[in-house]
Amino acid sequence: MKKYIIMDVDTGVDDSMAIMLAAAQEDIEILALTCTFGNNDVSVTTRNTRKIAEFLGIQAPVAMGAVRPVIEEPLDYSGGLGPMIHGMDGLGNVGDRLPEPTVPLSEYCAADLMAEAIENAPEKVTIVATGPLTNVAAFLLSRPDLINKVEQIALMGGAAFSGNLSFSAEANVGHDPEAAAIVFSAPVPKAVFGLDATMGVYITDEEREKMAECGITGAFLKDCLQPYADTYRMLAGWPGAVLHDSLPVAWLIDESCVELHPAVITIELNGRHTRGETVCNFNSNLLDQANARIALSADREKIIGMHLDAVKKFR
Amino acid sequence: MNRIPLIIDCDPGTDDALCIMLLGASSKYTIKGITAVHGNVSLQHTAENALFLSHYYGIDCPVYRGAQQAMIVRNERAAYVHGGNGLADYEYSAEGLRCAEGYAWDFLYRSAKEYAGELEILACGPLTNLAVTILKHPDFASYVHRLVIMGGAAHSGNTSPLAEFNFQQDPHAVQVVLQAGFSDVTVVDLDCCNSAWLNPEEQKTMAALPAHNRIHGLLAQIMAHKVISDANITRVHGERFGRDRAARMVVCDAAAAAVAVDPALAQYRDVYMLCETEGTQTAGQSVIDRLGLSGKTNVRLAMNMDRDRYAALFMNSLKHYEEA
Repeated sequence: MKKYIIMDVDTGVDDSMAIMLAAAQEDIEILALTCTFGNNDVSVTTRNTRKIAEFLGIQAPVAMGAVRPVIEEPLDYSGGLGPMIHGMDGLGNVGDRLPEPTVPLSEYCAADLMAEAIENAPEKVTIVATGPLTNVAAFLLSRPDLINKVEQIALMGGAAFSGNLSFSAEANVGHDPEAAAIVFSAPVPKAVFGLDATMGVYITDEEREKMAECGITGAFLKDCLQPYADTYRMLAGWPGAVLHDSLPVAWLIDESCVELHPAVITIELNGRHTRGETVCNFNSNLLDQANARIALSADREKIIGMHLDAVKKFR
Repeated sequence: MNRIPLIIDCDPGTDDALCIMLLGASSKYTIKGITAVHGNVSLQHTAENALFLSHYYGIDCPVYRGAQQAMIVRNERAAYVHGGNGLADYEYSAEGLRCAEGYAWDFLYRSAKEYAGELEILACGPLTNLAVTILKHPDFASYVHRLVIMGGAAHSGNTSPLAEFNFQQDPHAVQVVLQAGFSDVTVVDLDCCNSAWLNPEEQKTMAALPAHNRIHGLLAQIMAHKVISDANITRVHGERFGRDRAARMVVCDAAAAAVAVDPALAQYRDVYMLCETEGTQTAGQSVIDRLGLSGKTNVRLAMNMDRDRYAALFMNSLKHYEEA
């Protein structure tokens, strides 16, 4: 059965991989791409998303969304871990290899493009979110009448046991905890792919080489991932670039690649050390109150295999 | 003189009702719309009350529904102040009256662009509608000429020792608005409102408007309900600083409307203001950089209203509704 999705992204190297993975699937239709700040400034992530969409031949409209978090101060992208991982341009410092996008940017703001896509979709729509949740929050707040047309929100974010932005907060949630609080309290099914599952899904150098052999798309993505792989190796001794953002898409393609656990998830907004933590309560007595399901592990080989198959569908 | 386009974002509410009365009588503004928000009572009531009030006062403008609840927090309503329906339990029929299609935030954004550089907004409820507009459209603030907010408390609150009701209802929304980059924000806070009151003589006039004044029915009901409301407030919050509620009737939202209509009514100080979203004791408090430590300003804080001038404006506004 065909799945209709909206991708809310902060492209972003791993966002690019997730978009590629989704675009390659015949039974997934991307209705819209909406962009947020996150890995870089929203003007940069929007341009990158349009570039990637055109490169992959995706017809869906692209809209620009949140410039800043709900409450937190705007982020600085002149240095730090974000540009180090994703490159100064958000595309591994090779974004200039892709031509400037020619298809016009949607006139809608992100929340309105989501609403329009959902209103006109033949069936319920899954929102795949791979950045801070600001746009999704704006959509949920502004269109309560459409909430029942959202099949689910499949998001990369959070961590049951350990953060990366701080000891307890994962970056997408930690960059906008209030937006996450709005999303997690919304009456919509949520599938959560946090660090517990995503950190294990890395692509090795050999696998990247294989991807590059498939054509110019694979070759571009391989180079795009270079600073990402280098940074993960240097900072964490990791054996490859971690494809965080691909997990929600991989799960939509094949549910068996992760195991989801029901949980009551709330967002800590207050704690001095824990602000932005996704507080996961797995207490079996509370299962009837569970507001989300969260992945705690994932099948790396299967998910990387999906990418290697997917990239062959492109030039 | 050209009238200035105005949108009233409110949660009627008995004081909102008097606020809209005052604005409806003003020749300074043309009211382009009323956007209703949850607050004093549920959105269902505030929207219906706004519809009724615009009709009752003869204001020809659309009424839009906005947020049903705050962005994140969930607080108690204030029916004990405003009556079960939010309008002093005044019985009316809203038959044939309908809210405009669409949401408050889309109307606000559309109007801000249509009247770019001219539009004024008076916000006298929780700021959720404005915050949603800003979250959707980061450029919204740049089109708005002036925003007047009733909310916050420089010294002491009403719903908590430190927080004022509107701000406490949705502190996150307040913080979103304060950070949005509006070029001209006037905050009429509780301390400012308390400096402007209506005395027993004036209250007596309000309670007994002549029959040829077409709003005499609602005013009589509001004044009759004030006795119940004052007793309820005292029961819930106790006496504060010995303020005699009977002698001094403070109508917060009307005070803010008066400051919008006649800015010379108040004194001002440019300050940098934040809203506490988390504190266990201080959530909803307006936090003011009194020493100028931030080196920034984002709001013009109104204070020390000229009571007599305010009362004259208020009482004159009532006469606007007299039939020939």
